[in-house]
Amino acid sequence: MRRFSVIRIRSLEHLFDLAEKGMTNPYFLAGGTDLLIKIKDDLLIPPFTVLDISGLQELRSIHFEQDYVRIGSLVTHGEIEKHPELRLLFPSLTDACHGVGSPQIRNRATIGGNIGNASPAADSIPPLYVYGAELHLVNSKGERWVKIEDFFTGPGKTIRNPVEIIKEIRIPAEKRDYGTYLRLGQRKALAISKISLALAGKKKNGSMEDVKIALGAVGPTVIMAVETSLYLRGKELSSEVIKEAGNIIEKEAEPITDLRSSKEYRKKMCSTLLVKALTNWKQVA
Amino acid sequence: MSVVGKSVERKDALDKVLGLAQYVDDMHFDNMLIAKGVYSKETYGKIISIDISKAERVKGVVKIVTSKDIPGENLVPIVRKDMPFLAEDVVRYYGEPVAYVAAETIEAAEEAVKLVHIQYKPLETVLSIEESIKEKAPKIHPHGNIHKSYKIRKGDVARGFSEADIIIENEYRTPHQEHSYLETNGMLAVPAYEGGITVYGSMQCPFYVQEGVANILNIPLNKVRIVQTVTGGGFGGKEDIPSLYAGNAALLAYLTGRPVKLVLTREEDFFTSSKRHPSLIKYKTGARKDGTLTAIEVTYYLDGGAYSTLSPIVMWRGLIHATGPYRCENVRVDSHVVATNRVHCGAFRGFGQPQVIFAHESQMDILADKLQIDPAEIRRINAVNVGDETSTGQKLETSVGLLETIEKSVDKSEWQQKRSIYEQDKGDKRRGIGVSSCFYGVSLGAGGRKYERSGAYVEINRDSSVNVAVGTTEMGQGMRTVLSQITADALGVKYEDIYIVPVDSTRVPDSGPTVASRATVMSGNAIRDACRQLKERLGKVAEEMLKIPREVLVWDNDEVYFKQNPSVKLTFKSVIEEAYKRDVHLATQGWFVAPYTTFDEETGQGWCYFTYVYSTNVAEVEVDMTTGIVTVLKVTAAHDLGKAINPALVEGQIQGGVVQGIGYALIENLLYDKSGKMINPNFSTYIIPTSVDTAVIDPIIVEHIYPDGPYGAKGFGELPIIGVAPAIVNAVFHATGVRMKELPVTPERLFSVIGEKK
Ligand SMILES: Cc1cc2nc3c(=O)[nH]c(=O)nc-3n(C[C@H](O)[C@H](O)[C@H](O)COP(=O)(O)OP(=O)(O)OC[C@H]3O[C@@H](n4cnc5c(N)ncnc54)[C@H](O)[C@@H]3O)c2cc1C
Repeated sequence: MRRFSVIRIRSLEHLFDLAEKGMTNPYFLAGGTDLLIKIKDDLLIPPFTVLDISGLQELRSIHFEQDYVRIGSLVTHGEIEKHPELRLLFPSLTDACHGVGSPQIRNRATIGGNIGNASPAADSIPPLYVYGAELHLVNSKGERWVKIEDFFTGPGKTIRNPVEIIKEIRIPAEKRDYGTYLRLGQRKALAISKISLALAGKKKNGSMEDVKIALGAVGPTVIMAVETSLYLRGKELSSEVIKEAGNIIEKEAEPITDLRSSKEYRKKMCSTLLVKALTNWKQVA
Repeated sequence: MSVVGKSVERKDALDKVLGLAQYVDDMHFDNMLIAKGVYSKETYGKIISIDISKAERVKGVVKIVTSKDIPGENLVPIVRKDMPFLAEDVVRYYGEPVAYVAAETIEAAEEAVKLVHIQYKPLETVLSIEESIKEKAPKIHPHGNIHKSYKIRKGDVARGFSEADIIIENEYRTPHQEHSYLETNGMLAVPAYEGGITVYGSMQCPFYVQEGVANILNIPLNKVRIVQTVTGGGFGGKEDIPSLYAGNAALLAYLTGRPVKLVLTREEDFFTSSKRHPSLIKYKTGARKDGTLTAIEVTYYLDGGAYSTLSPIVMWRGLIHATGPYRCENVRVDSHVVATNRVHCGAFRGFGQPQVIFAHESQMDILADKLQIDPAEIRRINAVNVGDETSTGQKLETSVGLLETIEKSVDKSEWQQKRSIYEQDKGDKRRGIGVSSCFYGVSLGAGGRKYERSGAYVEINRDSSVNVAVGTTEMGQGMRTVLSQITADALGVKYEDIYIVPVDSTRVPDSGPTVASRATVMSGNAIRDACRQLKERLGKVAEEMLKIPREVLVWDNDEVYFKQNPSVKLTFKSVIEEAYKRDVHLATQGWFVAPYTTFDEETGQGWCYFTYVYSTNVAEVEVDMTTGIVTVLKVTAAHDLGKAINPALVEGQIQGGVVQGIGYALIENLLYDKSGKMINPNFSTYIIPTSVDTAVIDPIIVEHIYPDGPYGAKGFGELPIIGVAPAIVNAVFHATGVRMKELPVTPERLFSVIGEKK
């Protein structure tokens, strides 16, 4: 592994100062669970600058407000999965964070890093899609709010410019009737998702309303199953509807074959996971 | 008070838990250089040129070696010599070592590796068994693409099949498997005086490494001293290839006059170390309506990879066990290990058996299904017992516990009840229960006759503590503990007073490799031989001290007493003190040569192994029909190993074997791209089971005493993995009605068949 130096960031102001002076290829080190592997595998082209942001306390907290829940980007998957209020509001997200890696990884790895790394298989991202999350990006020049679905442009690619930091994630504090996250990996734990599905939805007078479905690891970014959602709107959760929704979602996904799974299997599993999710919803309702 | 048969604490437990164990990478010498390999980036190609000039200029680089720098023979001495220490004119697989760099720092070494420029002329590759055996296939070696063939001819298979009421014929395939030991390979070579060299490292077979180092340096064996460091797992993976790493580290040390450390990264280890052979097996079985076997015909191919390493004897072991632990009078087996341009394959727990046992245990299951016989029953009907013959005509004389393993595993798992309960499952989740039986010839047998001896050096110190030196190694399996127990009982002293010294090639004569579940029997018997001699000397002393003939003295629990009146006694310590006063020689060598074995290459008949261990595994699974995911719920594993010297260690071996077997059956899959490059050479993409992928494991110890083993023990270690995969796959069949003939049974594969069936 090549030697590299690390700058420990003391405050956002410190970061902005450094940014103003100019830096070559800055990378943030939050939990380091993605970044260090890239450095070890020589995937970052030198020269690059590693900025350790893990000491920024202001990015570590979770706030519940009237309209939004705000999650600091340095909050770990472990903190999210164990959070009782988050569990009530956003079960799809807490389920997803619970499935990340192993306890050791979850205690280190952050949600900001999961987003920043921009893998289409990242577990926390599909739930953030279905809950309509927005990202707060800041740099020395200013700040902006970006909808999560506008953030990613491809595997490992985002609209973020290199010195912009994801400060926090805010999610509308809206209670749904149901939320879940289902994933398949190559083994039962410590496995990158080969396909995943996040679903959150509400019901009104017995029929579904506003069902959001996001799929992970079946395209270059997480995708929303828009047509399937449209189909479900206003329908009752019957076996026929569930089956048909399964057929529709299979057509929406455009997965590829890679090391972890095949195109055909992934396509079929979109349907399987959706049927499982809707069937569970039907059972708890 | 015997400690044999007791689950005493492992000798190395505390050191390992506290992090005190010193692995080779923890060692340091002044003036030490760090070595890094330059590994081929071509799958199969002629080497046109190697340019090291840029690399040599990197600051801190001290020496770069290529094949030209080798003073001795550029061939790793294994079974047949075909693998070079460093590629000469040709590279035959992606990752093959071409050069090694020694530098002051790891950074300099890594930098230099990148700057070694090698030009290749690509050759047409051979990447599978099917490609390799084609008539027009490119030839990888001057001898062609067959590393070795063996056969068995017994009875008359044509007649056997004509007597059959049913004949089933199928093809099976199994993949590579990586050992996944915790510690990667590593060696540290240090120049010694008068042109000698000492190599410290992670290994199973110090005497193989010694031969390798002598060979590459062209120096006699007496100048090469090998010291095994604490070894973090082997599973067969540190049997053949450590000689190559040690040879190259020694070469650099020899040429620079400085200590050189070579420790591999996980990726380097994946690319260059031996794997379990992939296989293709064509299997034809004939049986009567009542389930008795009438004929077996097998063609068994192994993909040996680019070099033959241990392939011939891996193949041979597979051959001997190809028909399973069953009686069958008409047998024809042809086995071939072929060359491909993939990584060389070698030893891996089970050694050529898991592949073919997957096939024969699938065949038995299919037979049972077709004949409407219970799968456990069909195994019972054909199981060998004392007095029966193996496929090679060997009569089994003692210690055949197979039937008891079937009975015990079936009873304990509640086989009958579960067969019918699980058959009720009709929904998305379906459970199933399956069984497999197998046997395993202990030690090297006729296939490795020239290594079938071991030495031990036992020394009683003046304070009555005991040192034992052996030539077999601890690699995590618990050998130091088991041999301490054997020594303690052999001398009648406490387990705590025994210390097995680090393995060092200068302490005992060449004792063969630590493989084939042989250390307990071979080193155990050598220790007992040494202890017998020492007790004879001590007997004379005690006799004179007690004035009682030594024939009626009992040595036990740190005391020696009169058999008829135990109150007439001495402490062991006092006898030792007296012996020292009298200048009695209290150190000696023990020696053990394995019982007779033989094999006739023409007929494939012979007394192949001196004894066999037996097992039956019952696996229970749950299959999610909507995803194809198989969850192993429970494995009940009964093993006849003669005598469990340490039951806890035996259970540990069973647990580990089951987990490795689950990986082999369901998960592990080494992948290559079209060019022949391994594409998942680390643990983020080569997936092995975690603790949550394991099952409830119920180990059952069955003891059919083997009279020639220490305290009746036969040896253990490899057997636990061997029957696991077929038991799981048979359970999947019971759950789903789908017969999977290729491993691993991934969700993708299983679902595609379930989908078709639906
Ligand atoms: C063994 C193992 C298992 C894993 N299992 C899973 C799994 O099951 N599911 C899963 O989704 N992931 C998994 N991962 C990947 C990884 O743990 C996650 O993506 C994690 O959330 C990354 O967070 P981090 O804090 O470690 O990020 P880091 O490695 O510190 O950073 C990752 C990237 O994000 C950028 N970044 C970090 N923080 C910010 C920020 N605040 N603003 C802008 N950019 C930022 C960095 O520049 C870097 O490019 C696993 C990793 C390992 C090593």
